[in-house]
Formats: sequence, C-alpha cells, structure tokens
Amino acid sequence: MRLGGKTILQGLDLAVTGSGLIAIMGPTGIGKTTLLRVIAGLICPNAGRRRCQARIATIFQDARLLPWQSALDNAAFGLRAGGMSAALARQHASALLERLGLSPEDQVKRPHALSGGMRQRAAIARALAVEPDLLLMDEPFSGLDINLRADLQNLVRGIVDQRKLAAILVTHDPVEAVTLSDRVIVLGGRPAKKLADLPVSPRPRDSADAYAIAADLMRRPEVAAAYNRFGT
Amino acid sequence: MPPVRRALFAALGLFVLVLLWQLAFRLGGPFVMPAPVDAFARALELIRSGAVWRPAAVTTAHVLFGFGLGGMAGLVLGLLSGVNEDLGASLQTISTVLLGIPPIIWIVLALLWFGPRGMVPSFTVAVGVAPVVFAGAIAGMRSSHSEFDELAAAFNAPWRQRFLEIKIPQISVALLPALATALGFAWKMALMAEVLDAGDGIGGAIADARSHLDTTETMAWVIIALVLLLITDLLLARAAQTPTLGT
Repeated sequence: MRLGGKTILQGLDLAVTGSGLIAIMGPTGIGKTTLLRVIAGLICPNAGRRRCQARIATIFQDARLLPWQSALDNAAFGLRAGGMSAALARQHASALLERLGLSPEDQVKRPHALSGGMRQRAAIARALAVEPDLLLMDEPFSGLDINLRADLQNLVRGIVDQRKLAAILVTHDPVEAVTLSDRVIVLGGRPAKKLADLPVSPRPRDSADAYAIAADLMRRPEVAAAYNRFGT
Repeated sequence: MPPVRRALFAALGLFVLVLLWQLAFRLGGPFVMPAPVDAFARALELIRSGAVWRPAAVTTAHVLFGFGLGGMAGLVLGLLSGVNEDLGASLQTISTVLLGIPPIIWIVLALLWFGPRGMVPSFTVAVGVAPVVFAGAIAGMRSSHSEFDELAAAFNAPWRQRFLEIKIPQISVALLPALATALGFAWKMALMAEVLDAGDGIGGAIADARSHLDTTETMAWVIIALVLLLITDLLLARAAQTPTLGT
C-alpha cells in the first residue's frame, strides 16, 4: 500500500474468519490505521485484493461524533444510513445507549457537553447499532484515563463474545492487545510487514497475567526489533 | 468570565463613554454636544410619544430588505463558488473590490441611479452585506472536514444524508458569524444612507434634526439607533450559538 509516495505496507496477508478479536499491534506511525482503512474499504490497496463479505462498522480513535447532533442522533447515524426511519433509529439507539451506560438525560446532550468516556460510548453504540459482522476499532481507548479504559475494554470484549462478532482492534499497547484479543498480529519495519501472528492462548486470567504475557510477547526478537527505535 | 462580572464591566464601559460625553458638553457647550441627560430624556420622550415607531420601522425594513437581498446573493454565489473553483476565483476578486469601496461612494452612486426617497438605503445595505456573506459561504464550503467524510464513508451513508447531516451544518458553522458581522454592517449602512438621502427612517430623522441644528434631537435618535443595533446584535448572538467543531 502506497501513500504519499511511500510504501507503507507490504506483503500483508490477512484472513479473518469466524468470530473473535484480533489485535493489530505495532509502533506508532507504522501504518496500522492505514491497514484498517484498507480493511474498511475506505482506501484501495495499490497491489493485492481486499475481499470482504461482512457488514462492517468502525469505531474511530477520536469518537468522531457530529458536534451539531445529540448523542442519541449520533448513535443512530449508522441506522439512518442503512435506510431506517429517523424515529425508529432513535428508538433502537436509545435502548443501546442505555445498555452502554448513557442515561436518557445524557442522550439528548451534544458531544461538547459530554465527557470523553460518554462520547466514546456513543461512538461504540453507533457502531454496534448496525449489527455488524466485523467491528473495526482504531485505538478507541487511547484518549481515556486508566479506569475508564478498563471499563470500556471489558464492555467491548463482552459484546464481542455475546454477539459472536469478529473484531479487529488496532493498538500500540501490548497489554491492551493481550488482554482483549485471541490473536495478536505485530507489524513492524519500513515498509511495514507482518512480523508475528500469534494466538493468545491461554487467555490471561487477570491483569498481572496480561502484563506477563505482554512482556513475553515484547521479548520475542522480531517484536523487540519492531519496537526498537534504532532497529529496522 | 462569569456573566455578572462581565455585565458589570460592560456597563462600566458604557458609563465611561457617557462620562466623556458629559465632559464634551461641559467644555464645548450645547451646540457641540447636548448634555447626555437631555439627549436621553428626549429619546424617552420620542418613545413615549410614539414618534419613534415609524422611523424605526422604516429603518428596520431597509435593513431587512437589503440584508435579505444581499445575503441571498452572497450565499448563492458563495455556495456555487465552493463547488466551482474557476467561478470562485473570479468572484473573489470582484468581492474584494466591492468590499474595498467605501460605503459613502455606494450611497452617492445609488442616489444618482435611484434618486432620493427610494431604493438607496436598501441597495446600499445589499451591496455591503453581499461580499461579507459571500466570504462566509465560501469559507463554509471549503471547511470540509475530511474526518466526517470518512465517517460517512465508513457507514456507507447515502448522498442525501451526507448533505443534510454533514455538509449543511458544516457550512452553517462558518456562515453564522459572517451573518452576524453583516447585520452590524447593515445597520450602519442603512443609517448612513438614510442620513444622506434625508428621507425616511431614523437616518432621515437625524438629518431632519440636524438641519434644525437640534443637537439634542440628533443625539436622541442616535441613542435609539444604537439600542436597536444592540437588540438585533443580541438576538443574532443567541442564534449563532453553534457548537464548535473542536469537540
């Protein structure tokens, strides 16, 4: 994949089937978001093919809510895009928002009147409302404080399990990757290549476990090289 | 700044102005400036007697009519220019030139073209407002935040939804401040034109008072005009409370 005259990604083969969460990990700026954009069908690869038969929904790094609409209308955006009437879309979105922890009073507020966590919840609701087969998440928890992050991480993982979704999570945080995913793919190098593709098995039982597994992951030579500023 | 503090200091500013006015009166005598107290009293009398309504209505009509005409023209041309870059380039040059022409020139030209007691004030307002709204409309069209376009693409939003839910609000955010500026402009231009036209409206009343060397009446009308300007300004400030894109 070339962007702006530079080859960002090269020789990447990725197959996603069934359900479960895949984490795509790598140092910042390596091309993870670019890869996600290719997967979402927002940009076309210069070489190679994208074959996708799933219904996709995206959660962006910045909640990316429309500032002039209420949280409720924002959450219903995807439903309206699919042709649902505004009134029905609001109903569905409202129920979903409430399950995600946004009270009806908060739902009618505009994004600027909501906290970062609430905004991200609205963005999650927007993605889930369309009942996707594949959920794409671009570092959706990176702007949040630790407690909030843990809350939302658990929330999303719970939903992925419950609805048996396939999900791809882009993250630069190895602990987050290990905590949430069933499979970790590490990107590295310039142009970026797949350096590792490992199952997370057994899944971590608690956060200490997650840190330990993440540490092991980081110690693998190919991964260490990717994160090493002075390496390849 | 908390609103009470702000209101207090705003009032202080006004108070200082009135104080300076009083000083001018003391130093120069009633032919230079009437006493503030007299001018305010006359203004109140004008309101009480009902003499204020017709001129105020006429000036308001001039402002609204001119604002409507000029605003429409500016908006349509601005939106078209946002779509077609060649058109935009040509119109922007024209707009800059129009903005550069001092209002007084427009008034003189309008008097020549339309004659007195007619379209002069409305025309002047329209010509003053159009370039400002034009600039705002272009800015709105160009403020394409690709992040929202990406959002729309990510959810496969249809053209109609993109236009109504993203494009139009984006344009409004840039447009409303331009409209507020244009409205302030419009009042000043209308008054200026009316004074020179010496016809109807508040400007006409000012011209009339001036011709009788009645400085008290002149200033009374000025006060009334300022009050009207403040009211419209406040109303538009309310309407322009759009959320910022930074959230």
